[in-house]
Amino acid sequence: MLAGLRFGGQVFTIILLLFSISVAVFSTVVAVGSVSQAGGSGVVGVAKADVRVLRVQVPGTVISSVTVSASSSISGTYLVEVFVTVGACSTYGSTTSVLTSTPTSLTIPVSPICNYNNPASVRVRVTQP
Amino acid sequence: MRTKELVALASAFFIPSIVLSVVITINQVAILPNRPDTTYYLHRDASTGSRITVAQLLLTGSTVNSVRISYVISPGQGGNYVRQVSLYNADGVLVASSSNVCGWRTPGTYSETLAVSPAVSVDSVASVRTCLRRVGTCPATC
Repeated sequence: MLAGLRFGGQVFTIILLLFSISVAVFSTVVAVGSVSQAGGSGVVGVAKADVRVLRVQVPGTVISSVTVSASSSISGTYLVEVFVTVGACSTYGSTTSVLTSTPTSLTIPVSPICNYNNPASVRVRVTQP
Repeated sequence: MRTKELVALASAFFIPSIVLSVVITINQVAILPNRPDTTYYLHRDASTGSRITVAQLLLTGSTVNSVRISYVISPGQGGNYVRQVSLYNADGVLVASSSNVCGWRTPGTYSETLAVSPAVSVDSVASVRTCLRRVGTCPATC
């Protein structure tokens, strides 16, 4: 009886040991592996955030910065980039900011400076840095 | 190997594995924006230099009901101006627009809210086009 229990405990311990090793191996594989999903790469999981760019403002006759108001359904740090095209002039600026569900106003300097002498296209890109 | 030693050895693997799994779960979830790019087209009237400087989507919940614009009428360029906004989805399809609002404007800075129809989800709006144009008479269209 006692010998049986001892044998059973050893079997349980061996099973537990094997399970632990398998978990460790799986975790390691997950840690060093990569999964491509929904445009992401090199990441294990993907959370979809509803990012909203609600407002864009440019200064007067010279575009040296762009003020953007943006929010995200998932709070986190985001890279906010602005690409401005005014006629033949193209300019760019970026910043890193924490976005939350409450709109955040960001003033992003752009370089080079463009004259606002044509219709302006302001493209705002929000990504995870 | 004795049972206690085996248990200790198992724990040595098991506990770090759990911790590692939790860390991976927390840290390696990437946040992907639903739509990385949003484009605002701010119009400038070529003949007068009058221009739109601000465009803002006004929401009720997550629905866009109107767009607020600010614009500058250039010095010496008073006249009848028509204003209008249009909203497009990611495929470039028009999803909502305002009516053409026309009226006399003297030089200066203005802000006004243009209702859009139909009301659309803000998450379906990928680009916003604004229009400001001086016209001879009202009514007129952009």
